[in-house]
Parts: sequence; C-alpha cells; structure tokens
Amino acid sequence: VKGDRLGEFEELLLLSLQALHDATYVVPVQQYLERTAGRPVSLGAVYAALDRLELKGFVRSSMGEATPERGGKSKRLFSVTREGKRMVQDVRRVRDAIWRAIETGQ
Amino acid sequence: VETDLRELFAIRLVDAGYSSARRRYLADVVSLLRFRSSIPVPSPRHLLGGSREMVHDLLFAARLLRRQPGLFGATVAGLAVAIGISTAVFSIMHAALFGDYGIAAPETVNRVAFTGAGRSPITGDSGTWGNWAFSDYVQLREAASSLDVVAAARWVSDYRASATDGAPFRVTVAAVSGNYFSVLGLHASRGRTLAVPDDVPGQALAVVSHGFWKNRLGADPAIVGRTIWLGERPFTVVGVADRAHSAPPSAGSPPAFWITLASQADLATGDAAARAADTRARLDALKANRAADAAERERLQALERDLANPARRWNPAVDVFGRTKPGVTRAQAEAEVSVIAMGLPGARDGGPAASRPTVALAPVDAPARGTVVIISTLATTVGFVVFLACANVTNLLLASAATRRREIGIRLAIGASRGRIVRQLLTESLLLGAIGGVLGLLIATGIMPTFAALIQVPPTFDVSPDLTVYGFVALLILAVGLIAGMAPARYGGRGDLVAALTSDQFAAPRPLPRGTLRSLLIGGQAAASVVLLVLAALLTRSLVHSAQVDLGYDPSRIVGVSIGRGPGRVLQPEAYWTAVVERARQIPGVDGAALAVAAPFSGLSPQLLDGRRVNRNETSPEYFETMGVRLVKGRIYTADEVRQQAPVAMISERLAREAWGDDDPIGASLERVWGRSDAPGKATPGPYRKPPGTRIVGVVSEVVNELSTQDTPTIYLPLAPTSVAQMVLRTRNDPRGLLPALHGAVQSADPSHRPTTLFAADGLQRDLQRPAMLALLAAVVGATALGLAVIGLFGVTTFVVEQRRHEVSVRKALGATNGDITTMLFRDSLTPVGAGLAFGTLLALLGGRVVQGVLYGVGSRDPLAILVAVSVLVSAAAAAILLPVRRASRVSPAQLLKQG
Repeated sequence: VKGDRLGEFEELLLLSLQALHDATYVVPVQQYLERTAGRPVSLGAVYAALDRLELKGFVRSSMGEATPERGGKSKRLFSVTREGKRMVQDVRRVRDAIWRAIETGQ
Repeated sequence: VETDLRELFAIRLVDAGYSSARRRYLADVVSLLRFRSSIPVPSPRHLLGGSREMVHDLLFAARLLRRQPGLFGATVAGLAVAIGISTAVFSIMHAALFGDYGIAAPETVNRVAFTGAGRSPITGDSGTWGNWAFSDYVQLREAASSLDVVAAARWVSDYRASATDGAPFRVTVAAVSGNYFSVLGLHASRGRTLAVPDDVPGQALAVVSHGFWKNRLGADPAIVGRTIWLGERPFTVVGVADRAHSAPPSAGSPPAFWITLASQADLATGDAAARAADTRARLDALKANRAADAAERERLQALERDLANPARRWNPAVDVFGRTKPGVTRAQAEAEVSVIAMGLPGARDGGPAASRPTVALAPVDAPARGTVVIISTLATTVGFVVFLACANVTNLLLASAATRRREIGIRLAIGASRGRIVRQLLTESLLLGAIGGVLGLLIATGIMPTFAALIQVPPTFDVSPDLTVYGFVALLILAVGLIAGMAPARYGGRGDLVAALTSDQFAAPRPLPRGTLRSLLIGGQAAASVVLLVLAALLTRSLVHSAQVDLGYDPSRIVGVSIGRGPGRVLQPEAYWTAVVERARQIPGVDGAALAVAAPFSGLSPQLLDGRRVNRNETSPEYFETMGVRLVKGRIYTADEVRQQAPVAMISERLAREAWGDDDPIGASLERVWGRSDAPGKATPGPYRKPPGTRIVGVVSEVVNELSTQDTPTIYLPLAPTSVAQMVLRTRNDPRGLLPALHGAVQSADPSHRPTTLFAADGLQRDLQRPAMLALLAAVVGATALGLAVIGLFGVTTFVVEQRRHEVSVRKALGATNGDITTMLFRDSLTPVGAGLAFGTLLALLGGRVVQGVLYGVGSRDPLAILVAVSVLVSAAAAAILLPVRRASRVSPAQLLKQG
C-alpha cells in the first residue's frame, strides 16, 4: 500500500480513465493503456490497480446496465473522483516545475 | 471478469490472430489470480516449458511439502521406519535364503539323499537312518561313474584365536572332502581353497567363511597363514571363501570354517582315543575291586558297553552332493547310485523292500519347503507394514489433493494436460517415497546389528546391504510412490476449470466415493496396532517379572567352572575333581565348592518325563550347601551314596507339590515322575538313565538354572562318573577377583587345562538380554504401528472434516454449538477405530498362545496388558481425531456460507 501517493501505473490509469471520459469499464482502459504506452498490460494488473485506487478514494465504481453484447451481464464502470483529479493535477504540477527547471537550466 | 476476458480475447483475435490471443488470454488468467489471491501459482513457463519439467515438478513438490511440515514429517517418518524395518528383514532373508551358494553351474549339482536300512555303519544300531556314513560315501566315490561326489559334515566346535585365548567361541565347522571346492566350483576371495592333496591325516588347514572373517575377525587382511584353534588343535588358515559361498547347499547356518574330513578324523579320533583310554582305565580299576556289589557290576557293564560303542570309531554321517558328468541325466545318475547303494555293507539286498536303502537326487537350487514358509511369512509381515505406510501417504496426498482443487484447476486453465497433472501428483508421492526410502535405508543400517543379534543370526552371515538390498529399497520406493499416488492422482486429475476460477475451495465439493476403503484402512491399522501393543505390553511385563524372579541363590556370588572340550577333557577321574575341588575350597574368599552337571546358566535344558518338563541335575552332596539351597524335608544324599551310585534322588519343592500334592514324597519311588525305570542291569549311562528302584530322600527349594525354564522343577541325582561335571563355587564377595586363583587351582591338577568360568550374574544378564531385546523390538514395532495409525487417522480426519465443512456451516447456522459439531465429527471418525480395536483385541486374545512360550510369569491373555494397549490406542486415536475436529468446529458459519 502506497498510502495516498500514486504509483506510476496508477497515475497512468487515472489519466486513461479521464481520457476515456470516465464511466468506462476495464477492457477499454486496458486497451487504451496498452496502445498508448506501447507495452503489454495484463488484466489482473488493471483490476488490482483499480481496486487499490478505489480504496484510496481516487476512483469510484458502479454497476452499469446490462448490455446484450455481454451476455446480459452488467459492467463495472469506473470514474475518477474529485480527489483523484486533484491528485493527478498535483503530480502534474510537480513534474512541470521540474521539467521547466531542467529546460531553463536553473 | 470472465466476460472481460472473453471480450479482450475477441479484440486480440482480430488484432493479432488466434495463438497470440490465446497466449495473452492465459497470461491474463494468471495475472488475475496473482493479483487477486495469495495462492502461489506456478508460472506458465514451468508448466509449458517441457524440457525441465521433472526438475520443476520436484521443486514444486518440495515447496508444497514444506507448507505442511507436521503432517509431511510424520508421514515421511512413518514411511522411513516402515521401509527401514522391511529392508532389515529383507537383508537377513536375502543373506539367509537367497544366496545361490556361489556354486558354478548349480543345475548339474544334486544333493544325494540316502535312506539306509539294516545295520547302521554310523551307530551300529539296526533300523533305518537318513544319512550317508562316511565309509559308504567312500565306496560311492570309488564306484560312481556318472557323477563326481563330494561329502560335507558339520558339527560345532570351540574356536579360539590363539592357544592362550581363554574364552572359546562356539562355531559351526564343516568338514568337507578334498574335492569339495573344486567339484562345486567354489572360489576363495583371499588365499586358496582346500584341495584334494590337503585331505590327508596330519594336515590341519582351514578356509574361513567370508561372514565370519568379516564379522568376527575384523576382516583381518593378514588372515591367510595365521593359526587358529578349533577344539584343542591348531589349524592354519589357507584362505577366505568367496562372499557368494555363504552356506553349503544344505539346511542350516553357514559354517565359520571349512576343514578337510581327514583333519576332522584327526580331531575326533584324538577325542575318542582319550575317552577310550579313560574308560578302559576305569574299567580296569573296577575289575580289580573284588568286592563288587550289584551297583558296581552294573556300572562295569555300562562302561564295557560304552567302550564297545561303534560311535567310538570315526565314521560320521555326511551330506553327499554330486555333480553329474556331461551328458548324464539326473535319472541315470540316480539309477547308478541306487545300484551302488544296494551293494553297501549295511544293506540287505534281496530282503523286504522296506529294508532296502533308497536314494534320491534333488537339485541343490530347489528351495526347501521350510524356506518357502519363512519367506512367505516374512514377506507378508513386510508387505503389511509397507502397506500401512502407503495408506498414510495416500491419505496425506488425498487430503492435499482435495485442498488443491483450485490449484489444479488453474493448471488445467493455463494449458496443462491431465497427464501432466497426474505426473505432478505422482512426482510428489515419489518424492515422499524417496525421502522415506533414503531415511529408511539409514535406519536399516543402524538397526541391522541389533536386529541380527536379536533373531540370533549366526556371525557367519554377512548381512551388510549389497546391490540386491539397494535394489529392493528402490523397488519399495517405486511401489510406495505409485500405489500411494494412484488414488490422489485419479482424484486430482479430474479437477475442473470453472470450479477453480469461480469459486473457493469448497463451494461445490464434488462428492467423493464413500469412505469404505478409508474406514477399512483405519480399522486395519487400529487392529494391527492393538495386536502389537498387546504383544509389547506382555513382553514388558514378562521382562519385569524375569528381572525380579527369585533364583533360589545369590547370583552375584556363584561361579561355575568347566574345562574345555578336547582330548582327555570330557571325563575326568574322580581323583582329578577331588583334587581340584579341594584346592578351590582353600582359596581365601571361597565359601564352598561342589560338583554338578549343570552350574547356573550353563545351559541345562529340561527333559520331558512322562509328559512333564523336568530339569535333571546330577550333583555332589555339597552342591546344595554351596548354592545356598534350603532343605525342606528329608535329607541330602551322602558322599557314600554318590560314590556307590545308590538309587537315591532329591526333588525340588515344586515337583513335590505338583506330583505328590499333600502326600509325603520322602521314600516314594521316582517312577511317579519318570514313568517306568530302566530294567535292572540294562541301565545305560547318560543323562536319560532311570536307575531302577530310585527313592526320594529329600526335598529342597527351587533353583532357577535358566530364565527360560524358571517354572520347571528339578530332580537331583548323585553325580555319575560317566557324566561331564562342572565345579560350582560360592564366594564371599564378588568372585571376579578370584579368577586367577581359580585358574591356578584347576591347572595345578593338570597344567594343560584351560578352565572357562561363568559367573551366574553374567549368565543372568545374558538371559535377560533376549527378553529385553524382544520387548524392545515389540515396543518399537508397536510404537511404529501406533504412530502410523495415528498419522493415518489424523490425515483422514483432516480430509473428511474438510469435506464436511459445508455441512458443518449449515448445521451451525441452524443452531448447532461447537460442542455438538465436535461430538458429531468425533463420533463419526472414531467408529472405524472402535471396530478395528474390537477386532484387534479378539485377534490378540486368540493369537496370544503363539507367544506363550516366551512369556514368564504372565498369561498370554493378561488383562492388564490388553487394558494398557487398548487405552494407549484409544487415547492416541482420540488425540489424532480431536485436533482437526476442534479446528473445523471453530470456524464461523458466516465465513463458510460466504464461500458457498
């Protein structure tokens, strides 16, 4: 448990969820991540990270409506909470500051 | 989750094709399980890899076994003990029975059995006899053209490593014809064997057996050329026989030495000549005594008969073996030998068929009937012990397979074939078998000397493990692994994917076959344990009784002195003994000295007289006072009565009570004990004589001569001049310090005599050793059986209780208390134990008679022994059951229902 800090993979997940406009389920997230990051991502890892993020309060999940494609089974939909959004913003601020420092050579 | 997997699979199928999609699918299954549960899952590489499967199987099995160290350790320990005991038994069986005698081309070698009829050249008696006489063998050897015959005779001799070595050791010696080794094709591993030129009088050469050389002579590399002593004669060792030649091809234990028949004749005629001279001298002395009364005349006649006894001539009974010449069938050889036998001096050719000698040739490699019985008995015992151990391994694996359905499901999910799963499970049981086997071999090596001593394996056997024994252990391991692994593998191989992924272990327990076999195994184990525990308890009680038995004298102060066998040593003139006893009495510290045929623990065996077992001792009058025996009634026979061999006797209290009850035995005839006496004038000297008109003059307290005959009463007769006497002494303190003085007393009468001394305390110790060892062995085997039963019970109960968790949770949800659940599970598990217990107790009651012969002071149906055995088993079983049952009953119903 990393407390309320974010791991790299968790950060990417939070960003992916937002990129996919929230309220999405695990398969598109996995596909998006795999394509954007260009590395194989396992389903188990995605589930585990989402579970962790939900525990930390950065993500919440709800059961969506059943769809015919999925054999009448409902999906578990994930969306980023306000705390989650603030957290990625914080991380981004820190990173941007450091990048600027590197580029200006100060 | 499953739908997610399926969806992803569909996407990947379009993107990257089937095989890639499948691979990724499987990887996802594994990742899910890895991230979402704590169960260790083998990585797919291990299972699909293939080239190093075996190693991975082993490593995985080892990891699994480490997770249940208690049960695993106990099972392996039980297995090791079982394999250890089996291996020890097998090693001895192998050494004793399966040796092929090292004979070259054994199919052409026959034992030539001979039943003679008429007048025996060996004893001079008429009738039938079952051996070749040496003289007949010589005739056969000269006449036979169809086969080469060899002869071998065995007897027991005193072995000493050197002339000054005071403690002779009894060994079996085989005297063989000079061609024995060459005809049978036997070799020496060191030096040489005996050859025809050695078989002449005056030569004294010996070949030592491999086992004796190794066990008694410490595998002395310089043995060839050394001098050893057999009886009173030095022999030069010319070689060590090959290990394969452990026994001559006839029944019995292998000899320690082979010597030639000619040198045996030298030994025996020396003895016989000395005895004859001794007897003749006594005869002359008696004849010179003119005032011979009836008793004297009778003694005279007995001595004359003794002198004329043909046994004094050297013509021993021998075993004859023949190797048929090339092209000769067994039937042809038999026909020829039969014809030769008809012409032998003793045979009455042309008489009735019953008086003709018969000859039969039998191949030496055919096992004797007795051998088959021994082998099957031992094999049954060994098989039973190993079977019990197998049952436990099965239970362990079965229990572990039941709790591993999920793991097995995963393995199947990620592409393992059923065969692969079965192989994994078999690897586990084989690993258990191998660990048990290696430990078992160590145990076998450790217990072997004790075990061999216990069942009195002669020192001529080499029982150290060889290649065959290692092969046997390997076979055992394989058998245990396969048999024990079979059931779990069959069960585990049927694991299924959906159950593994959608549920926890016991959501939908597939019904197992009803546990009839399991109950039978448990019951059988309980029965076997009870029988063995009863035996152990009986032997222990008997041992305690023996250790406390009242010997009738103080063993720490009694010592027996005898002089070695050999020419001139068997019988001694009275004057000799009178002088020795007189000198011994004068040694400071000696309180008394007397003569007797049997000193305590010198090996007196009882006679069966008119259906009653009775010890018979012959003594001088001082014996009773020396031993500290109490005179209960009457008087002790006098020195005059002994000298005249008067028809008087004394009996011990027990015999008086048994045979006379309340009547007074004093003055009664001994015929009430020994039946009809010898006819007057026909009495033969010797340990079985029944002098006519013998009357009882006294009753004395009991003397225990041997622990094995501690309940046997004794009759005492005046010491006969033809009997071999020993000196019995009582000392004031520990007699050990008087040893040099005692030797001096004996050697002052004849400096060449080497006395052997036997301290009664040592004899008692030695006699206690065997019951102690027996009790120990029974306790060890009993404890092993109990241990195996407890392990098995624990494993099975764990397994059954796990299977019934669902049921337990439902019962608890419906209001059953922990106590209710415990009682129910406990009762169900204990039922087969109870049945086995009842059966085992019955078996112990019925079979107890078998061991009655080795029990002293305790009946074979001793209630205390049975009570102890039963309560030990019941408490051990209860503990083994209670542990898993309590654990199961404590689980909360909510937890279990959630899983369902």
